[in-house]
Amino acid sequence: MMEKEELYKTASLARLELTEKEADDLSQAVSQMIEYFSMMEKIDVTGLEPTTHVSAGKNRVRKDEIVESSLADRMIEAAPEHDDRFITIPHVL
Amino acid sequence: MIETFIGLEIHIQLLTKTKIFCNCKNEFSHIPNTNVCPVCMGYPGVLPRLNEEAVRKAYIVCRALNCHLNEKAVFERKNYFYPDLPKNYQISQFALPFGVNGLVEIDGVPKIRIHEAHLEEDAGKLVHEGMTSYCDFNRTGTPLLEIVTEPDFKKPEDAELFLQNFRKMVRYLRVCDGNMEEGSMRCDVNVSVNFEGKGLGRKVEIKNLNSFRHVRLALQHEIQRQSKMLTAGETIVQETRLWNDEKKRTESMRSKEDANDYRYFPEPDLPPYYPAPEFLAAIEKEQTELPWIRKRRFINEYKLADDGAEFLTEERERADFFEAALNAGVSVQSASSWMRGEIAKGLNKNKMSLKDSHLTVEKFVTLIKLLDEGKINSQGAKKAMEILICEDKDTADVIRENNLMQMADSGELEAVVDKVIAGNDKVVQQIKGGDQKPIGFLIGQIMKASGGKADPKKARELLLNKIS
Repeated sequence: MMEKEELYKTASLARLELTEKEADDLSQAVSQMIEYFSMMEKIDVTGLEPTTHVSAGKNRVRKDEIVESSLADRMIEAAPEHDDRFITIPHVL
Repeated sequence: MIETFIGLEIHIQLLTKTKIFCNCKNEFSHIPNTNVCPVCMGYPGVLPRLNEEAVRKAYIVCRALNCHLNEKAVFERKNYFYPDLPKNYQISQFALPFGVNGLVEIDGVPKIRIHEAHLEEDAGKLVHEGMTSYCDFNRTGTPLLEIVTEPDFKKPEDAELFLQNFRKMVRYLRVCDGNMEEGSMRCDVNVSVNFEGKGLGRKVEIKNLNSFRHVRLALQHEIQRQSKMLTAGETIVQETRLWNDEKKRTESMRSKEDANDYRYFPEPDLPPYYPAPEFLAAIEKEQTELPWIRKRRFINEYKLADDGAEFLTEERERADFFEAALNAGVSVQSASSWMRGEIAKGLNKNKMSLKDSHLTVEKFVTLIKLLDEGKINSQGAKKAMEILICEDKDTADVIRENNLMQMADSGELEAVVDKVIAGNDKVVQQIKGGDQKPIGFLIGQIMKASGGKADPKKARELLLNKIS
């Protein structure tokens, strides 16, 4: 069973707030997921290079050329709050 | 005895036209939120595409730092929630960065091992004021190369000297402008102390260092603080501290106990990068003699003093100019004294660097030849130099237009000398009476009367002949 404390920590990393009840329900579900992972962890992978990508190819690069986007003004307008061209948010350290 | 361990984390913004994963302009702008697009703003469904120029410049640095270049490099997502990055993760490299295990050997600094150099995207800029934070995402996605050293520095002064050389290096390599005030080059330090022979102590990271001076001061302060605690038997907390330049001290920012768990994982949208042999051969061609190596060579080869070699190798353009002038036949003495003297003075006065001035090696060499041949005198040469720096003109034209040719005709000079003798009878009598001192005064008068065109040596000869 997943430690509740661990669950709260994970939630806080994702900036999620959990009620007591949600935490109870979730800890069971998450524990199950973790068990699946521990099953996979038992598989012997000695000598295998970890697969980071399946079929993305390699060395996909683009030329260093400017293409202007029209997003800027629309993005500022769409922001919940802005001050001139700054997007403003509650103070964060 | 207490031992100190210092390591550096240096971030350099790479000089590219566009951002690292999108085609937005990579350019500082005073107008917030202008260089943004769906990719760097993390809109759903967009695909990052790697800028080949950022890759090239990153490898140039890795190679210059003698790094081992990983056969395969992988971008990863570094997950953290902070409003300076709208994606909620930063694309960086973690397990397989471009370069690892480098080594830098600079004269006067111990050998410094490079842990790694990895390419990532810069975050946006937040301005905090009152109850509000202001977000500007222009900087978001600027290609950023992070270089991490091993904790091999023993003294704050070594770290400072290393950084000065490092900045020269990135400028020599033309990958970064190295401007610490504007943040295109930034440095965090980590430092720990321990009793000798006990190995590394508990590491403290210091941020908010905007100049080399701040790096040195912050390290000096922090080493003192930690040493006192260590001697008093107190526990040093592993944490991040900020340099407060007004109070000249470091202050606790956050404790590492609830250290961020970044949950790195390979970026699924970017395939791995395998540097090809032909690509690496091209990187090899971009290598240039590094500033500290060039300085050492200048001292050995041209018998320059340390400060002279330091000055001449400060910028790559300056060192290139110097050596090109030597190749064209100018003497070491002449080239170095002109560059440190009149040229430096003129550039300074016009707030120019050699690169953006109008002076070229050819113009300089022509000027020195005319001077050596006695066609112009040093006063005229200095005057011409002032003009050559800020106007786009040939040396010959400048000399002709400003009438700087030395009086070649001795008859003309003789007439001037006669005139000066006639007009300064009292002084002439003084000299005839055995007082040598006023000779200089008369030469000055001759120079003045000739409009600066007389050859002072010839004038002196003539004058003394006539008086005695």
